[in-house]
Amino acid sequence: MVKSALYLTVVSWALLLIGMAILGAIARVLGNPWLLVAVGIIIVAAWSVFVYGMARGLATKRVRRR
Amino acid sequence: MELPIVVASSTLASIIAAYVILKCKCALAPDVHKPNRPLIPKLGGLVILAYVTVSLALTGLGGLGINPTYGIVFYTTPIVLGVIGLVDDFTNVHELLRVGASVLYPLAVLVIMGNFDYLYFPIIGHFSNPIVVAILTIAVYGVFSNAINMMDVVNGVVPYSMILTSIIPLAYSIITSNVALLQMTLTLLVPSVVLFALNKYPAKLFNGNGGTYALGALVSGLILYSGLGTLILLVMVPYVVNGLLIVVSSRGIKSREKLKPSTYMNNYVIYPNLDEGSTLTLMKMIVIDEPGDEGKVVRGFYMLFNMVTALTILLFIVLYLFRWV
Repeated sequence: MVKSALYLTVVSWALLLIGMAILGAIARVLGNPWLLVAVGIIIVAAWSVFVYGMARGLATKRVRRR
Repeated sequence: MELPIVVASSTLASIIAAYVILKCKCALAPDVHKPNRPLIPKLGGLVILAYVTVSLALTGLGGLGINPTYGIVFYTTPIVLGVIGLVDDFTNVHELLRVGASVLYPLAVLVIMGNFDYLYFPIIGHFSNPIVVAILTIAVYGVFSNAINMMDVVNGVVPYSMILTSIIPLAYSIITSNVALLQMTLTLLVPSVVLFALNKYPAKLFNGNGGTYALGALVSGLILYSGLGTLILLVMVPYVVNGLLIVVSSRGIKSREKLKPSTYMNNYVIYPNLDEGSTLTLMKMIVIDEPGDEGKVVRGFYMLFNMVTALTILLFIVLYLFRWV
């Protein structure tokens, strides 16, 4: 029953973890807090665009199948 | 005062609050997903407020065991937002005022107290710059106190997810004998258990805005001050996804009444609303595969939270074994 929602949630979880790992790696290399905030905002924005696009795509696909 | 006495007294206060709310039968709201739309009290926020207030009063600000500024933010923000939520349960508070309070109150405490300490997030690292700490505080309190309110659409999901959210900080506080973290975690866990007993499907008590804002503030505090923020954030992914879908699809922060419904009901079966411009939510994503009654939707939400919690516990074990937390 929850295939689409489960897929969306697990992919979002994995992408957020990858995003935070990238942020952590950048923090260790550069250490500048402002650069880190900027990169953090970019990662969150990219994550949001991808997750919203995926949710829209999944919803449209399910509606077409009905 | 000793932690067991504080926890026992606060738990008793929270159970008494629940008993009084159920007996007084005041502030009733219809449970729209059930036949005959039974009237249910919506003052679940008092259960949380009773626990946090008694816990804070018995411990005192000096005995919290964490940075005093962060202690004040952690324990008083749920009280302030819970009271605003309770007012909102009776008369509509403008959404900008609610969102503004969730952001400005913790920021005001930080600025007035001025005693900043570093914040630690596993995987990412430490933040010690005061302006960065302030930005993180605004972001976390602003997002989570409202994201939890957005998910409170079916019985039991919010307190159930709060219980799951408490697992990792509870385990970590016991493993490391961290009493301050244990007390912070129990402040989220115990009232959530009391609330879950009464809010689980079919509900006898609603969380109300008071409950969801107070829980949102508690979980925000845990993200910032537990040293386990990254892991708690990962357990909260369904909330973040749901909030993102609502804010983007409805083009801004709007009250629940102003949103175009994401679902509709026919014979107590919940269907996705396929109209152009209807709001996209996680509940819509659940019923889009197969419409079902409220019980089925609740089980769908539980499955999402069980999955992200299981994945995050595995991650926690790996991080702990490699000494990265």
